[in-house]
Amino acid sequence: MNQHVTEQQLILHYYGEAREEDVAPHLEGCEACRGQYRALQRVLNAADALTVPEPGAQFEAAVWRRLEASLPKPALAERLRGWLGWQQWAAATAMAGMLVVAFYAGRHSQQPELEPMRQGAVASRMLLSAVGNHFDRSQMILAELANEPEAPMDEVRDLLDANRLYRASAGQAGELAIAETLDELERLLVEVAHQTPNEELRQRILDQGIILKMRLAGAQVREREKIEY
Amino acid sequence: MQETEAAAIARARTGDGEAFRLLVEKHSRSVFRLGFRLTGNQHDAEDVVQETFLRAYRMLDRYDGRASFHTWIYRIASNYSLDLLRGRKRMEQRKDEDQLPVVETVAADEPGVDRLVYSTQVRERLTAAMEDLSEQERAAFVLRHYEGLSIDQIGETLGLADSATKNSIFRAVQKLRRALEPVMGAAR
Ligand SMILES: [Zn+2]
Repeated sequence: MNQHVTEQQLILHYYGEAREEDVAPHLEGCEACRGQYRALQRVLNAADALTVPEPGAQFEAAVWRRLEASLPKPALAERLRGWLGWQQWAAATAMAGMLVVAFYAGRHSQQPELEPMRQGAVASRMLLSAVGNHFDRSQMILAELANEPEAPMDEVRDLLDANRLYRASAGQAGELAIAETLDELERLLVEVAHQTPNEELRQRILDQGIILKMRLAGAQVREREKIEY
Repeated sequence: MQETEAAAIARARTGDGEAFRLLVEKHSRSVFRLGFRLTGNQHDAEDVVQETFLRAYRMLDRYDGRASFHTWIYRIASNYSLDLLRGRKRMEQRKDEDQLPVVETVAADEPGVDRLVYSTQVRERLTAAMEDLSEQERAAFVLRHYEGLSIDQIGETLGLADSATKNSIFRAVQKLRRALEPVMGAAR
């Protein structure tokens, strides 16, 4: 009874997380601590005054509408990825890049246009779709790296391997902006793959704004997918 | 209810959009509330909702069912909100620090004083004080005070040890007291 209760114990008591045998009996018998507790209660009760605007009845539907448009389609690309695993998939996209090159070369030859045109379109669409997913995946893994104590190092190395192939494909297909973004990502990934994650690295990922960059790049690619095909 | 959710998760994993829609409908409102508490504004809160479910969808195959789906979603939302807050802090670092407005002490029960003035003052001070918390303090306090998560759960959500979670909450409460007690003092 003689030792007064600390502010920290009172805070825990307010949230029902104190060791009650230390706090409750003392409060019972000590007017000074009860006064302290009342003062704390007043502040914390007042904190309830911060309210959140209640979204309208259509909120869930609106969220879903926006979300649905940006969800990766469980389309051919995803299913292929599922079947192939990324290595074969990256190889397939590298081939797609070469098909694009073949398409542009074909334009200057005397071959009938229709067939290579369709092949070329399919190829660059596959590339865009694969690179879009790759940007999304990068964004998630970088966010995890920056925020979570357990870094997904295996995934970083996978990502790096995939990134090399995508960068090569994009370069071959003449997608220079994409290739450049992939190049920037690659430099960071190489660095990450060769050290244990630390605070300085986390801070730099955040400072560099690369997570946002990946998000924007992913969105741009998807936008193009929609417009061009 | 638990069973249907587990079933929806299983179906959503296979790419079933309808199943994922059920999950979004069930949890989007609480994610919005959390996002609003953490970021302090509606625009960011809406961004938090979109991004949280987008990430959840892509990471669904990594959800192992150890935590409840609700906790898992909260974890994604909290981490993303912290990203937003950190980004915003950095952008604002160059700006001059906004001083807390100088508020005259007004007692609620003083005759002739509008109660509304009093509660507006408290809310303004509270908002400013929340802005002044570090991201970690804010997140820990919001999850404990408004969302009712236990210290254990908060640690799990934010990736903090129990002691770090507690200390963040203690510091947050102390800062709120410092901001609010001057205006509340006379209301005793
Ligand atoms: Zn005492």
